[in-house]
Amino acid sequence: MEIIDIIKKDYEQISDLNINHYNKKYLVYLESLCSSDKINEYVLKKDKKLNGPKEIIVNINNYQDYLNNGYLLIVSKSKIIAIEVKENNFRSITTPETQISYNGPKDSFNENYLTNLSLIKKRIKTNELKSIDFNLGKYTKTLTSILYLDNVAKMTNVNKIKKILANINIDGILDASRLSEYLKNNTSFAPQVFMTERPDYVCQALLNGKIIILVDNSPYALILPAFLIDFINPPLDNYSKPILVNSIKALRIIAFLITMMLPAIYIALTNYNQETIPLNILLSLSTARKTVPFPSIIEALMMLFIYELLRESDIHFPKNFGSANSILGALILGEASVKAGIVSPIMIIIIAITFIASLIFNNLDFINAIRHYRLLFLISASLCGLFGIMLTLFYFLTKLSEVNSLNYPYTIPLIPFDKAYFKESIIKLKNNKRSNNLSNNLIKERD
Amino acid sequence: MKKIILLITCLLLTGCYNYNEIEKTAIIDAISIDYENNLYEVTFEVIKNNDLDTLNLKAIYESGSGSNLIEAFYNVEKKLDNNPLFSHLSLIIINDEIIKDHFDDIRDFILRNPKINNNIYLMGSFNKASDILKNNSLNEITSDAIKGLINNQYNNYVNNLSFNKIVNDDISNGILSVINYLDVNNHAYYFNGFGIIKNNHHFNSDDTKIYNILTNNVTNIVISNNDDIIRINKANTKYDFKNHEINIKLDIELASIKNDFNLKTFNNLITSKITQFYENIKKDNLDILGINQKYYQRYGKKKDYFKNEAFNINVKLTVLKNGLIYEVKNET
Repeated sequence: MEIIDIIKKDYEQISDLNINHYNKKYLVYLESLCSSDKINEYVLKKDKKLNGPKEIIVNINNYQDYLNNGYLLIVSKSKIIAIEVKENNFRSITTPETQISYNGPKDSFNENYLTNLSLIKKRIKTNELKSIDFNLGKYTKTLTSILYLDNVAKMTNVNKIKKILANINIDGILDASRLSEYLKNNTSFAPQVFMTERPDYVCQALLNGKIIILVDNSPYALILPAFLIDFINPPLDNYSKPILVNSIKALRIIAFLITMMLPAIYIALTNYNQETIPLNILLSLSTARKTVPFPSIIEALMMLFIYELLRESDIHFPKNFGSANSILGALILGEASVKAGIVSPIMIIIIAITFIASLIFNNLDFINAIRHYRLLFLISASLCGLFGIMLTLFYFLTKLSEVNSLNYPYTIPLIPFDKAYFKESIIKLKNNKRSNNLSNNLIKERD
Repeated sequence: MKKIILLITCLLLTGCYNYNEIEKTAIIDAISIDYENNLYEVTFEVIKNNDLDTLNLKAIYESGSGSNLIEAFYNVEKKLDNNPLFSHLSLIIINDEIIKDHFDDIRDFILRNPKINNNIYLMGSFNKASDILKNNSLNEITSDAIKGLINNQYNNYVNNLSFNKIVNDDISNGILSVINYLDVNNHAYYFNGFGIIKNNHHFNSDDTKIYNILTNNVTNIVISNNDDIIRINKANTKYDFKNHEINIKLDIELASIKNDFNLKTFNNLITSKITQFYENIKKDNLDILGINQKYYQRYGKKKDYFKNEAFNINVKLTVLKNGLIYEVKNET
């Protein structure tokens, strides 16, 4: 077998492998990691026989694909030659904006597929990182790639995703979030696909046996399968000691419960179950609410609405005007509203704690899901007190058990119990094995 | 669709029946109940905080009367400006008349009222209970003053403080339930002995100390003769039923003594006090120590052991030896 055949076999199913044949010589390179300018400058120009960029002969049936993808067409009477002269009109690699880690790397994905692939391949330097390419969208023909580690990820999972993507028939895919709609398989509020802009998260997921989807023109990669615990405890804790990280993981789980249930618990206790509140606190709550004309449920809904307005304006408003936004928020939600007698001080504290707890989570889909359940808890608490909260909790748990990501239960690693994944996500412990749900190759570290 | 309609119907039509805004509640901290001229007179102590900036609590009192407790409570609740909240009720004071003859009414009313918290202190009063309740001192809230009295372990009271314990003893066989009596002197509350539920008999403060020794509830009891005062640190009382006799063995540890202390003198003193107490209660068949109950628990037989059998008291005094520098004698 010739050398080039061996290379082709080792690197089969790797879409960015380029093999150019020039006069009995082959130029082999990974397009994502190499600069075509440097190839032209250092290699092709030096070798007189290999002079010039690669010319591709195209025919009249497929010339549009090349013309639409940054190729120069040299049209003569009998043939069309396409030469790649693509403009590099994409952002440079910047720091992550939504998923910040203090100790970890500071690079993030941008809108260019090859750049994103290079950021992954810089970290995972193996020919077992395979990719399956699709061009999705009738008009956009967006390059979409499924990435997985060959002897780590389960091929059944890869084939499931392959089947879903192959059946997509849509006008266009403009962003990865659009694609995530097709990868969900029920109508639950909970997000079932993890979106990340960090290459280190993606590599961590690949090494654990998960499957990545990269979409051209999108700065986010999709990670599947995604479980509830991935949104609560994202893998940004891998750069600190386990003993320091475990308290933060516990804090996040408590914050998840607080942000979902605290306003409801307050409403239930103050309106139905006053016997649970100690006498001194009960008296100070009673005094604080004397000047407020609204029932406490209306007060809570009002404050939640104002906080949601503030959050939305913070996301969409230009950063230059951010200080005016903060001042306005402080005025509305601070002492002015208490002195005006519109809300009680304790309600401001409750809602502020709720929102501070929600700021720990940076996944927008997850925050939106929590918002829905927060409202449900609040309404049921206003109707039935603590009993209503219990009913909604049962409903929440029932709905949670229905959700699955790539046919894996959303509540992994608790139910069903997955020891290896438990040691990665819920509590950080020394772990040298992969989850048997994600991979058949269980050993991760060798002594 | 049907499920959604059913769910909405269940939520909207079944909830809210016990909805009660926190600022529209009258928090009742203590209640006094008197029985005079065939009428129950009930007084509520309602806690309010009038100051918006600081927690400055004040108590207001509302009274009402009726031929039964339901009517009396209703007449008081009518006078309140908010819905009464009994879940923080911590103290009920009842007068002597109720303790003797109408305790079952109180027990029935409180136990079967779902709004009233059962975890409350129950105290008796020789005088009118509402006078005790309204006669508050510097604290301005009676229940706080009385809770402070209970928390101070140097005060002399029997351990039957809670309503649940008193009722439990009352309905149990083989024991008579006791209740503490409160009194007030110049706005200062104090415990004035104890009495027996559904009985006319009263015991003074000295009897309280002996009762506490016999029921293993010793915390800083002070006993004196003419010359010396001692403090009892610990006491362990055991009851034994053999040879048709009740043997009461007491191991008492003394904490404070003075030089040349004579252990025997105090041994005789304590033995005579306990013997006298026991003879008093046996004379009127007042089994407040639960002798019959203890016999039943040990042998499984119901027998009026307390009334019929003789008793023998054996006191063993020891001195706490940590840091002891004085000489202790054991001479007659």
